[in-house]
Amino acid sequence: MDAYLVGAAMIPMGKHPGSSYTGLAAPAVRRALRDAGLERSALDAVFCGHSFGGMLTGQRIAKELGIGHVPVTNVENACSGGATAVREAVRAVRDGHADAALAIGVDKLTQFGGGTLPLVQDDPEVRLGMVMPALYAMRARRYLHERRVGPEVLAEVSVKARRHGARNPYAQFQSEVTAEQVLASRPIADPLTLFQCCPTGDGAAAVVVVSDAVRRQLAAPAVRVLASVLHSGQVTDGFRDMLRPEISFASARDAYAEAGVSAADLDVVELHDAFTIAELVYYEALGLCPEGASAEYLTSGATTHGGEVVVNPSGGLLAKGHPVGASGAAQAVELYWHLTGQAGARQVPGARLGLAHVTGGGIAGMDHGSCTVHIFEKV
Amino acid sequence: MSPHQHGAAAGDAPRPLADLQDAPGRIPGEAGLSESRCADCGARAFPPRRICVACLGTDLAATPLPTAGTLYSFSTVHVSSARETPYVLGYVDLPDGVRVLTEVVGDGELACDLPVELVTEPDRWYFTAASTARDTEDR
Repeated sequence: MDAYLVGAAMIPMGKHPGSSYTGLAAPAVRRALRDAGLERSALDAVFCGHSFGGMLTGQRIAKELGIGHVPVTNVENACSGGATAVREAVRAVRDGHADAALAIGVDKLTQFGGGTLPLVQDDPEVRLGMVMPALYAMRARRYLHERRVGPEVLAEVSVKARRHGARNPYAQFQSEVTAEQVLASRPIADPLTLFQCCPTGDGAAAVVVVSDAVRRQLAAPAVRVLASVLHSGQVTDGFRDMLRPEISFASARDAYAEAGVSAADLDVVELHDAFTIAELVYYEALGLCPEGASAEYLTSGATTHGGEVVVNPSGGLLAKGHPVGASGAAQAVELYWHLTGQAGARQVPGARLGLAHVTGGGIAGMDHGSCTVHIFEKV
Repeated sequence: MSPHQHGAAAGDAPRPLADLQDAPGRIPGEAGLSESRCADCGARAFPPRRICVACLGTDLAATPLPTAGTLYSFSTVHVSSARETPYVLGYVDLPDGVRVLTEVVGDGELACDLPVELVTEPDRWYFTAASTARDTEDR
């Protein structure tokens, strides 16, 4: 049974210290329901992805919108939390358990003041001082070493992200930067500088997922879910190629198989650029370019407006922002807008097929703990 | 009652691992670090494991961690919620196939694929450029 997105909304990402988790998410949910034209009483299930909201975050949001007497499930999957909520909503509809389901992603990182994301202290690598920028920095160092390129290539990822974000009223950063500014910003974890790292911010996003029967009753434009894939990482105590994150390779492979499409068919991609190096590595993992070719692929302009496939037209996590549990749902919203022609100044013209990818978690022995890939098609 | 009988037989209950009480890899009174080696399948791990991820065996013995390895990658961390900055972290690949996340000392001379050696002190351990480690010992 097919599942469709028929309504999607987010709040502008940024620092919203005066807002609770409910304050962040309720406006996005309300707008998504309104745009879908769906009565809240028609919802059969709610899934809420977040990492730092505490107990019953989904219920606290649903409560303020008068949504009750339905199963509300809170899901935690680090950066993939919001996307996991979307996947659970899609599964509920595909499996016939729900005709209409709501997926929410929300997180508030300003509660920590700033700096690096607090990771789980049980983890032996975290106890040694592992933080997310350090993990990606080691990946970046290895990339520069093996590919024999300079940090200017990394900087170009931020330049593109900020250029895209400058067109996005939902982005935390809406100003452009130069490669020189990126490289001159203060060091976070060498070789990554401040402008190569996603900012601390707050955000929320929501999507309404429905069956074909419900979709036909609604006037809202719809997007078909062609693939919805979630993987966990696989532990190893030995060597791991940090330029070849297997969790993303495997998730993308399964998503293309489920959708019956290939990377070359995509018009628009929102991928997990939490740090500059991530975008380069994930071009290869998602099959957008051959392994080893990501630096040239970026600098050729293939991944910006007018290129082969527009990657992160929202500005991505680097410019739009990355409130961990919100990001996967926000990616789905962004793609819904592009595939239904509602993306405004950053619209990818004629976009028919879009892919969303988030992968997260600093966890010893794995490349990442979770990875979600969705492929959506214009109806 | 057979120890392999399924169910909730008293005396055969799984016991929690006291894994938070470890100083991973340190054995009191011994100078070096130890990794675990599974008696059933030979899989090695550092920090030492209590349950073998390769075969789920629980007969794991401490065996000395090799002291010479290769620096796969590294980073000087300037911003961290985990500890005081700056510090250098790196992944070191050891000849027995084990990868270790470690503090690395000696930022200026570090490079990917650099030979490194383990230095253990009473309250800390780290890897450093192989030549540097020898110089220290010579002194």
